[in-house]
Amino acid sequence: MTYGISGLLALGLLAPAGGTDDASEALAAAAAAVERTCFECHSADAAKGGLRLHEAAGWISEVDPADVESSELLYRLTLEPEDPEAMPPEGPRLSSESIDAIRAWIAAGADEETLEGAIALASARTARRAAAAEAVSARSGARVDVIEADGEFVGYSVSWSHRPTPPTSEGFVALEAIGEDVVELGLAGTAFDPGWLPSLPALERLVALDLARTEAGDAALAHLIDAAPALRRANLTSTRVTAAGIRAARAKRPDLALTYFDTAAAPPVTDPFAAVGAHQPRRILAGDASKRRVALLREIAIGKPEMIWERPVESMHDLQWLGESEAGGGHGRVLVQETWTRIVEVDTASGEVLWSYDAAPADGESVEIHSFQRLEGGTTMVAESGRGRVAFVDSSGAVRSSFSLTLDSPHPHHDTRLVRPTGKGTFLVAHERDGVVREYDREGRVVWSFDVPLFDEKPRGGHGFDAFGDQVFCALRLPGGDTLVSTGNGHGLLRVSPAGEVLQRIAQESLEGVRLAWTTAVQLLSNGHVVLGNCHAGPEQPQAIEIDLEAGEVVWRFRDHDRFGDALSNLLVIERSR
Amino acid sequence: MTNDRRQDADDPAKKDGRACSLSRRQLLWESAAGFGSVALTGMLGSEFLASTAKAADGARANPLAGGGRPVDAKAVARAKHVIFLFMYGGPSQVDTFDYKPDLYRLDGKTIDVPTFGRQGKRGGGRVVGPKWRFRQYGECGKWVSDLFPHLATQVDKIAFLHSMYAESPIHGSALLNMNCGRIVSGHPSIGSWVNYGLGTLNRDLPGYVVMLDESGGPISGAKNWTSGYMPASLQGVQVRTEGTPILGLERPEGLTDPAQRALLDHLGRENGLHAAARGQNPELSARIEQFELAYRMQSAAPEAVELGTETEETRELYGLNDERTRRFGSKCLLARRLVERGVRFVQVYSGGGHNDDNWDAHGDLVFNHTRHAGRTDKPIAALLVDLERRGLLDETLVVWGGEFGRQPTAEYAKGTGRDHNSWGFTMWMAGGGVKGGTSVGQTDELGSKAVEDRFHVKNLHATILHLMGLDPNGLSYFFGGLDQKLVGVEGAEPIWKVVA
Repeated sequence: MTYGISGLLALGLLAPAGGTDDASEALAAAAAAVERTCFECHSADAAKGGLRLHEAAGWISEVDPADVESSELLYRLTLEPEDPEAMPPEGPRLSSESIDAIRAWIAAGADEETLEGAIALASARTARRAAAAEAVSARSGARVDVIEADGEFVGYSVSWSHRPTPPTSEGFVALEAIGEDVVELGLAGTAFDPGWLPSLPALERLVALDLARTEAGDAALAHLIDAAPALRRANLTSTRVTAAGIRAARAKRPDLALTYFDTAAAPPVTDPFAAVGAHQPRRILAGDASKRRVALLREIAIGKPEMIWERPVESMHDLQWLGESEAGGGHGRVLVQETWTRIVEVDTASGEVLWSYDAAPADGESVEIHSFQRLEGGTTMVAESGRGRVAFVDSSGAVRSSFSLTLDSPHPHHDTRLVRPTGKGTFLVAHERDGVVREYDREGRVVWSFDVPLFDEKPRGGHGFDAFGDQVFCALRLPGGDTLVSTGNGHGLLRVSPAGEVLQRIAQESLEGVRLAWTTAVQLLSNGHVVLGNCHAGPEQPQAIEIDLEAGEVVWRFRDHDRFGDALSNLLVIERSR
Repeated sequence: MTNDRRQDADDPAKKDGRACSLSRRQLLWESAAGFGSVALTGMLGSEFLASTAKAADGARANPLAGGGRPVDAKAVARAKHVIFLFMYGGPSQVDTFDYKPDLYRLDGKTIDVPTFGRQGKRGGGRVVGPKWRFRQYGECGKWVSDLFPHLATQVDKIAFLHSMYAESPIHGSALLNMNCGRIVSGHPSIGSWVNYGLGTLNRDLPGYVVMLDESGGPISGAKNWTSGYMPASLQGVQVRTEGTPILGLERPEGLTDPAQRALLDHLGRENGLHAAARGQNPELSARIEQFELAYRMQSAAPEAVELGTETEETRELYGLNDERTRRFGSKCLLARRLVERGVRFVQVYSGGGHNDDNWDAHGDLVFNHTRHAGRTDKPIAALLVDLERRGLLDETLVVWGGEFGRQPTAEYAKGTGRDHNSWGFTMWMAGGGVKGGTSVGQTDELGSKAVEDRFHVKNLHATILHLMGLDPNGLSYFFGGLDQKLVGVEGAEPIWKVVA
């Protein structure tokens, strides 16, 4: 199979092979060109005008060594292409080298034997190339094509891509027979071992190399660059080549055109949440018992989240993000609540339940879980109202230990809201009914407490803006030792010193553009900002806000009253895990 | 109940059993014309409208359901955005993606093959063999010419349509055909249709952005991104990667933000009063909306076009460090950033102006196509790579192609130039619900005419709308006494073979 590849010649990527310094060589090349160009009309099968150029006699009848330029053969070949007498009448014309060689042969006396030798040489060479291609193909399993451009032999193209037979080191050795004329080598998509590359012969004229979708790495690239001094182009897409390999290749061969998508040199951004300019697109894990939904949202455009996962819930007051899912795509493992007694770990990519715990109340017993957190080490902390305890559950779902809570007025629905580890082995428990935050050690000793103040207001019933009280929802220990307290129907957030002094109060109307109702879960972001839930505030208000505490400003707000309702108690902003 | 029925009988508007004096047709018409409500039809979804069509209007067919035609249940949105890479001038299919091995050996031979280009109809001519070598790429083994060494590495993401045909072999009308579905002026372009059907995802940026080549716009100019008879707020907005991103957007010197806001508020009130008596004037509502959009864009647009915030690796990927690819690369990168920010439809032109400033290779094919492929090959490959690694390729449909292709024969006695060819050409799509690594349709052995699985431009349009979750034969806009559709009143099927 042959190809016209003048485009490649135009690009300067390929050049015809073979020297023309030797006259007989040149005449042989001219004879080969005549075979390709003229035999269609002037050979044994079709002798237009009685001219047969497949034998020397046909040539001799048309030439005159005494008047070289008037020889019919030369005259016709050198006419302007537009001339109706010009030959060939259409299609590619003979190269000037071929015409020069014919002219030189006529001038030298138009010797029949010389011409017969050249014709024999040319046809032998054509046959030899075809035979060599076939033989190498048979031995190596590769597809071997003879490449020609404008009738001139350029070289061989060797490719194992899309072949039934994979390359082998023996196959590489088999290239020896044509090695010096291989101009293209294709290994794309094959399972060749880069360790076999030394078996390849020197590829002095190799121009184009395709290694896409192979195990080839930096060493393979370096080896091939050394073995192929004429290499102009390499496709390294989806290989193991690294930036160092690319740099080394460029240093050696600045003119080498490299394509290397999807390699270690062009690392994939596996995190689809890479920054959009200055903006960090967010994922949000949020739950609202009033809409019976916990969902994972992903921002697809600035401020435009879409839901990528949801799960029905009956009741809930807590959730936790445990890390990225192996399936990627922005999914993760999450710890969520199904009912007041059952919590599950779910992979949001597959929906598979990876772990679960059920408080399994005995007959007549009333137990509700209002908080849970997976701790470092894999133990899960579960706060059980009604039992008045914090339990530590292992990976098999068994309670390994627990401590009892100090309660002024126990109640199966109100003993606790959220419980958060401090990072120092203690736990901050928001006692909703008591209106107190107590810090416990693992033995259940109260090591610190804070009675949520009413700021001289009278408690008022209800859930919305007009309600008031000290039904604390969440307390979080800050790295500096202060504690953030989300006061529930106290409509606010307090920053409390270890001595119990209120250092900062964000009250119902403290923030511009936001009115707080029942404040719920608190999350501390890596930038020092705080995310605060805002329940029962109605459809006009955001359900969660990000606050820059130092500036006392709201820097982000989440308002989605379609997917979620007025009881969005928990919202986690999932930050990039890097 | 009896009272109600009597009242209904007295109300002429309810005589034919309608529950509401405003017909559904009027409702859609007015909501489509009213600013801020253009998205209504798409937001509700064709299924919703189909299910409520009877209740709303028992008498007439639902325009979204295509004359009582059942809404296609398969019409679920696969793509949220479209990036249409328009190769203006018409790339030659046999030199790019439509591999015709037999054509090489016919180079220079005169053959009989009917053609129709700017030179009119001819019965045959001198074959110009493909000027580049083709190689196989990807798992799918697709043959791609040496014009696209980078793009070729992405063939497993691409569905090739080898049997496209269009209605005109002349640039102006063919461009309108490809962009607006008709060869005559005045019809909305596909970006307008998509935004009409789906609304915007980002109120601070236009939903339809057009980026032109530095050498100028395509012939027919703004008609290619017009909203036609739809409200002007749905027309394409030109965005530039160099200099001022959007012309005429900056706030006049000395005008502060509060002052401008006050001015716009006042203007809005006046326009509102004016509009109250002219409820069906789309120009007026569009004007009000455009003022507001422009105001919001003053802060959003500069951030969106700031390519400097991209990493060096990304800039290198798109070829921003190479003079040859820098301009088109910047546009591809900006297209990705706009899509990331919720822009629905982005059209990027490769080539503009005249002669060899675009793909219109009448003279020297090798010079022309080497130039334009060289400028676009790496950036387009980078766009596919970058969209994929950011998880955006699944929801972004990338479309590549020109207004037509080129003939296998030479246009003139001398040279390699090829004349226009609308009887058969290649386009491709990638991402957004498209089956990668596929090729559908065929031209004859010369690549001159689509012969197998022929696809009209309308089928391409239907495929794009379908992948966006819109029913191509249902999405209509009432104008001039007709339920106008992008795919025409006769309708067109999506190209199912490329839908994943």
